[in-house]
Amino acid sequence: MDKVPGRKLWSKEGLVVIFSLAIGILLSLLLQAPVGTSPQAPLLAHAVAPWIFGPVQIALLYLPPWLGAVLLPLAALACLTALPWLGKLGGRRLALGSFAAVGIIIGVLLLWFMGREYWWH
Amino acid sequence: MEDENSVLTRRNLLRIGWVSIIASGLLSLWPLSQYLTSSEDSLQSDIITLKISPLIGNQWYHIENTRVWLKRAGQGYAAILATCTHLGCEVAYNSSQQKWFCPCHGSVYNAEGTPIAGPAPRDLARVAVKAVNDTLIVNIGKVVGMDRQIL
Amino acid sequence: MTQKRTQENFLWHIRARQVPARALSVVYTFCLGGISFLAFVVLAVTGVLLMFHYQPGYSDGYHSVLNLASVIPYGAVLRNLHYWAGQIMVITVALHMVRVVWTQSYRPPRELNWVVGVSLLVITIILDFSGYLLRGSQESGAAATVAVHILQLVPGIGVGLAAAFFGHPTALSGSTLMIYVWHCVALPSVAFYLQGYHFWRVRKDGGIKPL
Ligand code: FES
Repeated sequence: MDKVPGRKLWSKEGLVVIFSLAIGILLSLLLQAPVGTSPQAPLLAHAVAPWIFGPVQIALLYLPPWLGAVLLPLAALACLTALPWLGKLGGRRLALGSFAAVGIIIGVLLLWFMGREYWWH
Repeated sequence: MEDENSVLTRRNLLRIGWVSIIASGLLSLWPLSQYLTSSEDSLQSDIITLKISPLIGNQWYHIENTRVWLKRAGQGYAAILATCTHLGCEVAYNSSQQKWFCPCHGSVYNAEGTPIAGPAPRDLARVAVKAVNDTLIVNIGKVVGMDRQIL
Repeated sequence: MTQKRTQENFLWHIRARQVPARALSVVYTFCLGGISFLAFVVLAVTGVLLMFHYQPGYSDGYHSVLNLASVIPYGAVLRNLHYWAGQIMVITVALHMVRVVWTQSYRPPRELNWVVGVSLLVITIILDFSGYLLRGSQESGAAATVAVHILQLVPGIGVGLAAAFFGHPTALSGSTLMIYVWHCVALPSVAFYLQGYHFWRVRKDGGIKPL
């Protein structure tokens, strides 16, 4: 494999750091992080889950909790963890296939959640 | 210099060290779990007392800062816990629709607390309530059947 | 002079003098792992600063967040930065994983590092979630309650785990001292050490972690 001096890497990293920090600071100047509803306010009629847990909230609407919120997430996690060994067993197709299956299920649930709630908090 | 026959060779010493580190780690697991899971500092009484007020009528009435709602039932009172039987969110009674609504996964209960929509598996819990002179005593630790709600 | 030499040597010790040309290609890595680490650093710095004004607790949590967001000079910017860095970190960590799968970088001898990476993903998600709970709003209370009930479903250890991680959140505010300590001290420390190992391993296995 070709080798290049490490210095080139450093300058590239520096550029990425400056660029990403600039974007982050811009985001936080323009967009306020939500604060939610006060615990002293009247009871909420509808509590939206944080967006990364949207898939779980959707699953809980239709599946019993032990399945939708315990077993399926654990199965997905086990599948992810086992990926190198899946790859050893069945090659790239099996590894990529199972990763894609997990990813697509989570992605569909996430889109479902966002469609349902319009936007996340 | 090390004596070949001594019990305290370097290897043995290292082994003793490792074993004692692992052993003390394992031994501390139980105390640690007891320490982390203790709720001695946040114990709350199950008993709620309040003055009988005319606000408690035939519609469910919320006792502030608790999950208890009360109403008159027959000669006495009924107390219901506004804890969703699905996954524990706090439900609220909508008196115009005469239903309980859960904010989390949309369970709906009728006025008596029986689920009519959503994933909730059971009725909202009824707890013991007793009128003594002009005060009501609610024991949220004591779940009662719907028929025995008036104590 | 000697000191400078040592410093340089140390830098070159943790960073490679020579790297595979492929690792430098932005298209090969998309800088995702590095951006995740950068987000972690930003989160640590802003997080410590937020701790000076945040107070955990049933109503204290929400009120101190409101104070930070409104009256404390630069509190809002710090909180926004913390929030957005957190959201970005979850996304970049996930995308970094997609990239690793795509380039098949999980193959032996890198299985162990893949597993470390998966645990870092899990810790990142737990950190994001606990941060959401510390906001102390009704939404976070509902989320905490649901999470406690779900955890309690796990046979054997569930109840203890829920008590140790969440303390006793109410349904109206997820902010408790327990979650605060896990979020601010315990989990970030674990994540920090795992990341150190992750990066060291990347180099040892013959790649390089470009940003
Ligand atoms: S907790 Fe009420 S519907 Fe899930």
